[in-house]
Amino acid sequence: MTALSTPMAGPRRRRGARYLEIGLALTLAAIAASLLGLVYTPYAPSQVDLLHRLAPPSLAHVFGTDRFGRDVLSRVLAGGWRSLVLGFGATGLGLAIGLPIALATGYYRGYLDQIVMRFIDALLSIPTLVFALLIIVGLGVGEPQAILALGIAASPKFVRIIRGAVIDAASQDYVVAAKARGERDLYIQYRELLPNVLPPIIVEGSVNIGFAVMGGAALSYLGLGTQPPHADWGVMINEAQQYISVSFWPLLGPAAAICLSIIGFNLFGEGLRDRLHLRDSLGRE
Amino acid sequence: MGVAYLARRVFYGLISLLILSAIIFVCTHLLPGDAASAILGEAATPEALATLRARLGLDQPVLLQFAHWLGGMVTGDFGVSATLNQPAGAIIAGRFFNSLALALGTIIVAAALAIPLGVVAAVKRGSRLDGAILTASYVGISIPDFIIAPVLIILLAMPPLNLFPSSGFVALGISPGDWLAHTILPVIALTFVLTAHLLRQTRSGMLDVLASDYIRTARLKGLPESLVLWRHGLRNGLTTTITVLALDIGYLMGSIVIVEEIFAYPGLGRLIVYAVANRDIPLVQGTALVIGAVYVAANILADFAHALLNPRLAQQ
Repeated sequence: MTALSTPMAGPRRRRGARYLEIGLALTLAAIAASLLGLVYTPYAPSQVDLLHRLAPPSLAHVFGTDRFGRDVLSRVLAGGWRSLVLGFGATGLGLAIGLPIALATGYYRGYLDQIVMRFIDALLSIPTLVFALLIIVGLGVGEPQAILALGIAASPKFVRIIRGAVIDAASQDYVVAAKARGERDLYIQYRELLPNVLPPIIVEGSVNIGFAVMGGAALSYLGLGTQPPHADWGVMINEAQQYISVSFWPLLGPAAAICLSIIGFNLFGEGLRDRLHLRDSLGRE
Repeated sequence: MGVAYLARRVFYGLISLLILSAIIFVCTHLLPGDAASAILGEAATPEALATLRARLGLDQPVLLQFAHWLGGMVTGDFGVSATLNQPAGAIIAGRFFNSLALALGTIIVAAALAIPLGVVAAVKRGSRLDGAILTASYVGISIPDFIIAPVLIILLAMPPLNLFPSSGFVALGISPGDWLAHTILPVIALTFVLTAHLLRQTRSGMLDVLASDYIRTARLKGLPESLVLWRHGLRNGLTTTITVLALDIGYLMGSIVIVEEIFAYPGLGRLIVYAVANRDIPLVQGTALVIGAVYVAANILADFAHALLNPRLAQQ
């Protein structure tokens, strides 16, 4: 690979840097908008205005109004934190479950590793969203349940990817040296191996935040995540779609918010991957 | 082709399904309250609950219940849907073929678009064209299905174009024309995301192939570049693409859940959403298992194809 990739390193690196910048800008903008929505919105997000229902965008209502005349921009801002918390929460939970398993199986290997990986393969054979639906059957409908479901559903992927990195790292001299010093297994896993597998964790984590934001919105869209009258972006898209034949303007705000956030997290992860010279989840550069 | 290799792949596939069925069983038994209280409601007397539990076998040890349930699944007895009062197996079978039509249509269109574009992007790596293809695929991956679908409805199923019905379904046997009209929009929506995904994977698979030693050898032998690409490159690039396509079946099954719901298309995806929302446990279990089985089967088929195209692999 080296011989051929060297001449390409220049443009590739530059593209990575641009991805990283755009991704970071979009991500920060989404977080800032959601934080702003907690303290300030142009109108009260649930303020009904029956005289101005389904209004197209105007100076007074930048994204127009929904079927109750509620200001879409205000609702996008106010609902943002719910959508982002789904993304961050599910990813954090997925890592909290996946990381210890990946460190243990990648470090010890052997029979336990074989058995666990069979389980992981079986779990990976079911689409994340369907797995999340299964967990929701067990836990019930709601936003905390959606975070749990998406987090548990994401964990097998984390185990697979991080375990691969742990196996690579475990053969390095510093691990051999730590064993020779007689360090405890847990010390080696968390003090020696973990810092060295952080790059793929950060990359996969940030890409997964994008996926989880999308998955969370999908669950809310299906009526299985955030429950009305509370609204995140998925709920808003669902509500907008019901009146699509009358006006499609209410779709614009939440759709833009969700797409730009997902693009942001994806570009950020991808840019980091290039910057850190990592391979993607299929082991390709 | 190594029979032992293929037998091992099938065996692993079956192990995966066994584990998956256990996971499905556990997930659907987590909820507080069991099927008996779900059927009888909150006002049920303890005696009535106990009787129904005994009849449903819910008073038996969990492992025995699991064995009983799994035995039913293996012999095609998926139980009776709790809300539709019909055999779950029959409902799932009908929906399965509807989803299969969507999936096959999508895979064919997506492969026809993504493979050539992915190969071109890999060959022209680093060029403006590559950049444009990559960026477009990026946007495709980042736009959720539940946004693409309403946009398609606005563009194609509403005035002025009004080309297709925005939702619903007509059986192929009743009116092939109406069936097609109802199938096209969901296929376009599914194709959008799958093409973007498949294209990126084809590109990186092809890049690996182009960087390999035998391509260098072919080039150093002085073979024309077109021959190197089409005869040496694509044959091996194709094996990667087949693997990727099989992996993407899982991705596609996830999208199908959303897209079928939006277009009110009666397939497995809409069925599982209905089953989850209504806590119809036999229906959830059967649908989830069938979706998992499709994915496992697709991967076994991909391994078969892989072994046919690359016999060395099967002998390892």
